[in-house]
Amino acid sequence: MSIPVRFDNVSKSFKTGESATALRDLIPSLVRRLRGADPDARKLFWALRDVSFEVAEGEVLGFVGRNGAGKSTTLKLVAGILRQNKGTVEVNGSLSALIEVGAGFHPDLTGRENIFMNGAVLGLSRRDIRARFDDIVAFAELEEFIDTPVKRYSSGMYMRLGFAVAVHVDPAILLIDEVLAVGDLAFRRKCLERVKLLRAAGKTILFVSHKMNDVRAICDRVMYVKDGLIHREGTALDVTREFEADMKRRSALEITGAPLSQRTDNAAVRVMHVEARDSSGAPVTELHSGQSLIIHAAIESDIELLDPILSVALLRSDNLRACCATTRVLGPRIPRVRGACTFEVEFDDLDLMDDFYAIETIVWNAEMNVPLAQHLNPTIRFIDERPPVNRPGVFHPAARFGAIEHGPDLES
Amino acid sequence: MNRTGIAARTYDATLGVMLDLVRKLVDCRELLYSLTIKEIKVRYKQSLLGIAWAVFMPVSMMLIFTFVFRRIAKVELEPLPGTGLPPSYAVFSYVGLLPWNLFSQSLTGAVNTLVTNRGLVAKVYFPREVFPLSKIFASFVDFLVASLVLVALMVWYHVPVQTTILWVPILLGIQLSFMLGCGLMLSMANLFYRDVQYIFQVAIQLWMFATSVAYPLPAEAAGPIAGPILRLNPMTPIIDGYRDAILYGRMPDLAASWGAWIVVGLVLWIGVLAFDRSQYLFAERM
Repeated sequence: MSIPVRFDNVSKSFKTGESATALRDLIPSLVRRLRGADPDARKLFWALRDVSFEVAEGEVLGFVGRNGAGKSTTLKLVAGILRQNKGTVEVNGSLSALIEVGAGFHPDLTGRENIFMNGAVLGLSRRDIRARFDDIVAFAELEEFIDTPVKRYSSGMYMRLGFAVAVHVDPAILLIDEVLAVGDLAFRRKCLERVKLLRAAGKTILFVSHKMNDVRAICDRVMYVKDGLIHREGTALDVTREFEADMKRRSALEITGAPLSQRTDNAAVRVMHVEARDSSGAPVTELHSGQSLIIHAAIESDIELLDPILSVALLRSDNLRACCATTRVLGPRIPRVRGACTFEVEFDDLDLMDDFYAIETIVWNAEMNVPLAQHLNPTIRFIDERPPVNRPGVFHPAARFGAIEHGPDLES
Repeated sequence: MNRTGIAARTYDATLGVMLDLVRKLVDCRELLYSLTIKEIKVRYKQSLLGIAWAVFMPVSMMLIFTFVFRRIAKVELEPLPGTGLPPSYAVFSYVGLLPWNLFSQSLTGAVNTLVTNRGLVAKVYFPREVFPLSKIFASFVDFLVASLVLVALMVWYHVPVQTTILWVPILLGIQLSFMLGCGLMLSMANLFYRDVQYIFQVAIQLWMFATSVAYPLPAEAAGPIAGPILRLNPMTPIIDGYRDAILYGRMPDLAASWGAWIVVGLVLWIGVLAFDRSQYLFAERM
């Protein structure tokens, strides 16, 4: 049994900056070359560095990673659209790449004509297409409009037609890059089912997606690509969870690094220092869901503040304000503040979902409509070891299910 | 299919690359067919006359040429063997215009084809040669349609069909090979440097007047500098050949134009080789 796809120390670089596409740029570069200067002084960007992996026959390999990590470059190397600078790319077997849906659709041609065109582009013969034509049209749900030029299609119809052709190709190796990510929910589910069918039929599939649920549903194995390297490789669940945790950490950092925190630095009122502590008073960066959190903050004011209001909120990595404690609601009333002072606020039994949370501390005026000082740091992580659920909320409620009372059907 | 690094790849620069191209094109004949059909359909969609334009273009050119070169500037044509009379200028120019239009239309299409299909070039892999080739094939269909007018003209002017007409497929083969070489070079060059399309627009006009499309163009008459250059233009012996085979009923004197055939061979060889070697760069240099 031959290996369908093998990468052996593959590297791929791109030149950054604009490449010369006009002759007037060619001439100066030739002059530089004649003078002995490096004609391609532009910087190289390494999209992939010494990447090696193998895909077994019938395996579904997923790629996850941030934009620009090298996922699409990998697929384009497999497809032969790009060529590596170093190393060996080995591909054994017929291959079809669903890298762009509806590639080559011509607006003036009808749906029917475009199916034949696009099918040919994806490597189907006319006989194959004729045999699948009805399936394709039914899949796209476009029976009524199949003889209408696609320029009159809505963007949804256009995409459906593109998907429908794409998922009816029948190669031994299938590359899917992000194409299943668009379209309405029902149609996406349909496409996913179709990919599962192809998988069940023993196709080797390389799958790139930003939708972790799709990756988990389809892939046997997942590679987390980061800065042109394979950062981690393993089962779909492990790798996607690590990737998600990384993404959350990153966006939490981005929130705390936002200019917001510096906004009031020049003001007379300043939040000097904020620290997260556990219930014993020790500083923490991580807590388990359900534990108590104590925020300790130091503020300083050059002027005398009358009736200021303090608030401490937890901002989740996706910028959702998960909860907010404020003296306006909880008390106590603070008659006046001047110079340096500290305060503490205790959050009891914070049963938040597994995620990163940035602590936002604000000193308000008496009406709580002007923030006098604002501070967004540090970030703490809540670790939740309970099984993950599909539709998490913000926190785990203190809820109980009662016993199930069966209807009459089950009594017989 | 095994793709190794650039450094590791060795090129069989002689026959291998040609055979490789033939094999690739046989493999993707379905795609070639579909793309050709698309070209034809797209060209005549939303036009009232449709494919009739394929006839209209060379016919209108023929009428203009007839007016200019019969009424204003009198062009001397070689007399027909037997009768001693010159052939009808309409037939003479149409026999030149048909292959010339095939040539210029194909190349005009080919020069932009990789750039306008950038979506496909950057996202889907198949041999990129099919892009210029489908332009050539689509123009060939127009050429066949326009040829019907030639048949009508021959009947009208009582031009007898002679056995030398069997030379036409051979000449056509040479012309198509030359067009393939030019088409590959132009489409590739325009992808890297967009100036090529503008230079081409001027060059193809000039080229027509440097070819025996509207008038006989004996290289000897062009002088010591222009003569040898004109002699290297393959389109003149090709068009003269068609006229010999169809109009004058004699064998085209292919041997006399050996320089032009070397040009055809070089253009085809360099075109195929250069295209093959640089096509992996297309997606990133778009």
